[in-house]
Amino acid sequence: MENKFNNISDKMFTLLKEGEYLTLSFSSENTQFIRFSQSKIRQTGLVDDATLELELIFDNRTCGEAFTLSGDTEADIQKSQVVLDTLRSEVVQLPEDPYIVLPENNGSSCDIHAGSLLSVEDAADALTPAMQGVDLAGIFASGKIYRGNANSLGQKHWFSTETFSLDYSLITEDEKMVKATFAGSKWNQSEYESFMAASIKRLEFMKREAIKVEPGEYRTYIASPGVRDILDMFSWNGLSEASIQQGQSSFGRMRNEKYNLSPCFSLNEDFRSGSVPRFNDNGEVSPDVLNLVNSGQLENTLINSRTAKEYNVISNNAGGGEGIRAPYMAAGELPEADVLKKIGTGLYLGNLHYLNWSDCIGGRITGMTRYACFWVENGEIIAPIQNMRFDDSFYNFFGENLEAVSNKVEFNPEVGTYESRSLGGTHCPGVLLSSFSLTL
Amino acid sequence: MINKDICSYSSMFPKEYTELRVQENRSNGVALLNGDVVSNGKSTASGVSARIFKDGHWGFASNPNISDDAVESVIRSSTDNVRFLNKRDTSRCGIMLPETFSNFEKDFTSQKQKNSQKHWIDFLKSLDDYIVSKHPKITSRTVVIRSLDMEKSLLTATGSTSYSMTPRAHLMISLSADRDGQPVELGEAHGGLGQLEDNFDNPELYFSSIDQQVAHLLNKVDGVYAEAGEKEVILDAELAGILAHEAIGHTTEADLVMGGSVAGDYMGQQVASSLVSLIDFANNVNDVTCPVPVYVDDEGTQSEDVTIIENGVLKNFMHNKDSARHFESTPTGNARAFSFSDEPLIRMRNTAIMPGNDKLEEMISSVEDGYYLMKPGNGQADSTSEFMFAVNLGYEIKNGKLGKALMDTTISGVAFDMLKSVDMVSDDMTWVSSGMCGKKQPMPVGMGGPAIRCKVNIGGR
Repeated sequence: MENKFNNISDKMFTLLKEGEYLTLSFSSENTQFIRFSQSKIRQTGLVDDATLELELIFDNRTCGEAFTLSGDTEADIQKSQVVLDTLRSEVVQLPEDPYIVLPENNGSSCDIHAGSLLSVEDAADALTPAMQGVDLAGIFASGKIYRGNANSLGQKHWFSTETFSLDYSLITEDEKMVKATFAGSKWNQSEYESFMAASIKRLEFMKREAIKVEPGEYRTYIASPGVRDILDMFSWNGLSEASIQQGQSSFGRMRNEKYNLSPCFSLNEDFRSGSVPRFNDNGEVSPDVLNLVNSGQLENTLINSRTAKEYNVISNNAGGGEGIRAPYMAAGELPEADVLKKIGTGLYLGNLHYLNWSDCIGGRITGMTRYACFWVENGEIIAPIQNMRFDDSFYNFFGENLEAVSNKVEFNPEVGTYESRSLGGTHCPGVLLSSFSLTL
Repeated sequence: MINKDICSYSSMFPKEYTELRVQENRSNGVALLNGDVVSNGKSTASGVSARIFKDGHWGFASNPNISDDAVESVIRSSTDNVRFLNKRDTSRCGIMLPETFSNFEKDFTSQKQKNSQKHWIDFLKSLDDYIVSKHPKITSRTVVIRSLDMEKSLLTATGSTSYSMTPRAHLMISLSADRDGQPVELGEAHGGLGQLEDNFDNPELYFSSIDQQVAHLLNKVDGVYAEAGEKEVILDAELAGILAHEAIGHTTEADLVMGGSVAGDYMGQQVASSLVSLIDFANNVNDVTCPVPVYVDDEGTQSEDVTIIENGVLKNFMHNKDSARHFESTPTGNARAFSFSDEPLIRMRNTAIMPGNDKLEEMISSVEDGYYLMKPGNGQADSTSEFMFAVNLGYEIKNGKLGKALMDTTISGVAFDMLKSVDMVSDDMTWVSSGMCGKKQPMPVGMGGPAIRCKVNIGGR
């Protein structure tokens, strides 16, 4: 795959005329999908897909076009030439872009993460036995994902990874659910079976009659998948420098009013796990680790080159939307085994759902409790709770109400398949809160 | 442009039931932020896919190459997939899909000459210049034009053939004004079915709409926070439409019913006020084409309207072939795939609550203390019919009169409960189609209807 990309890009760069800059972005996947319903395989599929995007810059003007690659290198080069000619005819008609970021050559990289995946033939037999006896609905995706970026100044980046994910819900007879995702890059059959067994065990708790919790403040533990949902919000009017500059960010108070979060809370962008490429669409490479919030204090925001130019700040090579591409929240000291004991009486929230800003500037997030959420008394799970809405500010729950952070950082993979299989995910622990606000 | 006629490939079909789809999606987008072009790009995604059914299992494969070899390859791979599953699991042996047959061709390609990117940038600049010159209180402007052409050719083993080119094009204008140093935003979308050339001609046609948008925005700058709790509200068409789609429509997609959606228990029951009838329209309402017309779905079934709720009673689910077999019902033509590499899923087309007999003005004047909620923001709902949506534009209603504008707020609840509280429905109908529905794949959909009076939980400060 890398050779195909190199062949196309090398050829295209030889065709450029004076004053033209060309950046090529490549995205491809080779994925096996297996869809489960009632713990049986209903469909298997194989998807081969590759897309190339050309961005032409000429005379401080830019335009781009993306198209599906056929896999026939000669045909794809021909198609690329047609697209380049189209872009040439268009770019001269466009207005100048005052904040244009010209390509540079800051070196090249090749980042290949080999996995150990189930073969297409073996996947069904490996997956199905562990899920027998329960009602499981879900989707298994496994295969290779590729990203490439090259520009006409000679900079070239390549990233490939091999990953799998089984994203599933276990469903009780009265339709309560446990939701979980087993994911990674190296398949381990016994780990999978243990993981599934733990989900099935949690399903047993869901069979108990659900308790209705009244609105109010509760001592609460939010498990890692729920924390992931909260951290996801920080990519949306959160840690983006442009968003802060435009007064739209929930982190504006930390920048402008010197608010701090709890010393227990640290959040980085950390690419060291290799789950996503370090290079962005411009081919700029982010640092391995960027401290965003360190022990409760805002240290860095995400700044892309365009924002840097517009607001006269220094870029840290963030992506186009200045979202967090590789979120990593630091572990604390609360042993996982002690979580229920430390809750004492209160809530264990396994998953959150439907998060939205209810007051972005104030950092207030609303959403639902969902799936494996339990009422805990005297350190023991009593029963699942009926779904409740929460509405609270992260300035509270990651601030003075953050009592402890669990000592285990879990990886919560992105399992989206919108237009193509998603990369990456969120590394985070669970959090113990002295108070969390349920509203309706 | 793809081949309209792919019938010659039928000779490659195996003995199992087979669907072959060739598809190309073409998109175009230009965005101006405060007068500067910040985004200008096109994309094309094209390829071929095959799906094969035998004994209760499906095999699927796709390839980004549109060629005889690629067609042969995807048919072979999907055949291998389904035969592999058949060997492993014989418990579904003998399950057959209902047969459907349809031949249809519908091409909405514009007859007008295609405009250049420069033309569209100039179009956006005209709008932006107008905002700058006419509305000095606006502190930030984003003006975006976006289009998507979905072109599909389909051939099935039962002889169904279809070709469709279904475009949509939208203009989005998002404006900000300042409130105590913080931006207050309001967006507006225009457009629908058609290519850019069909939908957008003279920028001056949008000036009065921009004036209205600015007036609402400036009202919002002086707005108040909603009072939290259950309130009597008028949900305008956009909000009622998104609620009908997200919170009710999805629960009645038969694949989600099979997955445990709450609607599975409600068939034949009164799930809403008798004033509420909810229909997923296939392609037209009273001979007027819907924003996202579907004539033949991606399984080769002729698309039919689905009356989901009639006078408050849950009547039907939306089906593909497999779910129709499961529920001993009839396929409704709701199987749709976004991209060539996507399998068809049960998706809505144009979902709307049917208009009633009330006048919007009378509905507003009937509310003593409540809210008139006009524009939705982000939100979600799921198979429990629980929903939560942001509300980006709304007004107080005090003693039957509109009061102050609201700052952004949220509404939430259980849709089937909320619909039981509907006691007035306006006599007009508005379609909205600028968003994408998400269900593992994006998908253009239409949603709409009248305004409704109901009770709903509203978020406060």
